[in-house]
Amino acid sequence: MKIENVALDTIELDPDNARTHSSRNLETIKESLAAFGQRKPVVLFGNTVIAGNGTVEAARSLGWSKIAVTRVPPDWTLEQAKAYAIADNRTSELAEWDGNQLLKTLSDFDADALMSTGFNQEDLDALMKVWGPAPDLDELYDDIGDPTEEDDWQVIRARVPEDVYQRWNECLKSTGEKDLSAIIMVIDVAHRALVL
Amino acid sequence: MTQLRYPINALVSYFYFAKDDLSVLHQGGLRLIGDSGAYSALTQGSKIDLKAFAEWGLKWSQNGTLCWVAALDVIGDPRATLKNYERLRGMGLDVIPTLHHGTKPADLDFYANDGVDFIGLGGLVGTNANAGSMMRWCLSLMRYAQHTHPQVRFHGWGLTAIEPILNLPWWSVDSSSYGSAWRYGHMRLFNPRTAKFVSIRTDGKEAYHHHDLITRYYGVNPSQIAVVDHDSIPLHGRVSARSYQYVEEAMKRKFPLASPTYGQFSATDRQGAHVVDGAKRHLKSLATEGN
Repeated sequence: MKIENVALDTIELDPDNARTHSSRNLETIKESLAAFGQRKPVVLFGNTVIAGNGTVEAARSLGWSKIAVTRVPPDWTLEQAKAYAIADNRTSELAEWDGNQLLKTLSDFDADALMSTGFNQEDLDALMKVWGPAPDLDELYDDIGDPTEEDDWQVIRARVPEDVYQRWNECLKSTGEKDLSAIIMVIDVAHRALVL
Repeated sequence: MTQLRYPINALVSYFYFAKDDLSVLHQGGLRLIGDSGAYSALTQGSKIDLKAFAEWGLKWSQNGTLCWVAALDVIGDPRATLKNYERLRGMGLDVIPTLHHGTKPADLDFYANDGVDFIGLGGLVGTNANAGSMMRWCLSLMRYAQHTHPQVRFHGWGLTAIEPILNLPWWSVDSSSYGSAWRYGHMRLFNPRTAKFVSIRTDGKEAYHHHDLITRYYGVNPSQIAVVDHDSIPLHGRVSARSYQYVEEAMKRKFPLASPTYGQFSATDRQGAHVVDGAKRHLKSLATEGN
């Protein structure tokens, strides 16, 4: 495989590329290029990119002028090139992460190194939740504490006419949403009205 | 095709399955636990006959078709719940008791001292909206058990919130969200990468917004499950069961617990997350796949 450096403005993105690149994906490629440089060549059919469209887009937005490329054999047909473009994406798409190993590796990285991998702290937290060790119940207790009185409160749902709803809101505004005495007062008034 | 791991853990209720041959489901690859279905009975104006329920439980547990059977509990009435537990045990069925949301941890003592090392925690369905409240109560029970009755294991009734499932040492949980596609018009799929449930409306459009999740983790195309109709229900069932199996895998990985002994009628590995559905044809469809 021969690798050459070409000017970015001499190559074009694949107009038939079936793989889309979200802004997060492009940002991730940019982070990777900035941290590690380009470590794999882009693949060209003529002057058209058939593998590495995201890399080219990211390199352009980083202000690069050149990029390393390799070309498919000259006897390839357009159909072969298109098939390769799909295969290049599909083969990596079918790979799976080993969550346990991924968590172990990422956990050793500092914030900058983590960012350069395309994973972020939210991803790491999710991995920890699914693949990490069981939490210690006493530590969990330190975080969330004992059940509170409010935990036993029941939810009341009721559909009421607009004017009743307005009066209810006025009542809450004047007493505060957590003032139970207001709610009890309303219930008492309603109950007396019903009994009398 | 969605790859399910058999056996699939499932919960069957006496109220719905009283007259069914449960061995068909069992032989089809479902690992079954049983309860009375008292709440469903109540909402449909029926009552559970305790003696008939005990006979059903004995019939299907003695041959190992049901791994265990839950007691007939009475929400909000611990005394009636205890009475049912004692009467069922008196009829020869070692039923699993349930403590309801709000119960004090020391209430575990009675059952633990009675030789029970497996207890259900219930009344969680209504509190799912308030995961903090549920977490605090379940944690208070489990922490108490860890210090005073470390042999006790727990089943979480109707537990669908992911935080308590993955943070607390459950022996097993169950959820009827398995059937939410055909009952409520939305699927609830677990995303193992983000560790969150995603709710996807079966409106013919929303599934396409979750293409990566659906194809990568569930092995189907969004078009196959974008809408729910009679013909698609078996596939929706498989996808939803797979979703709960992802949760089960994480749960078992995090909490590899030793098995309880009380009220256990099957020697197989029973730790897990159980799908629930009152409609027989849905569970039968899963069982058919396991043959």
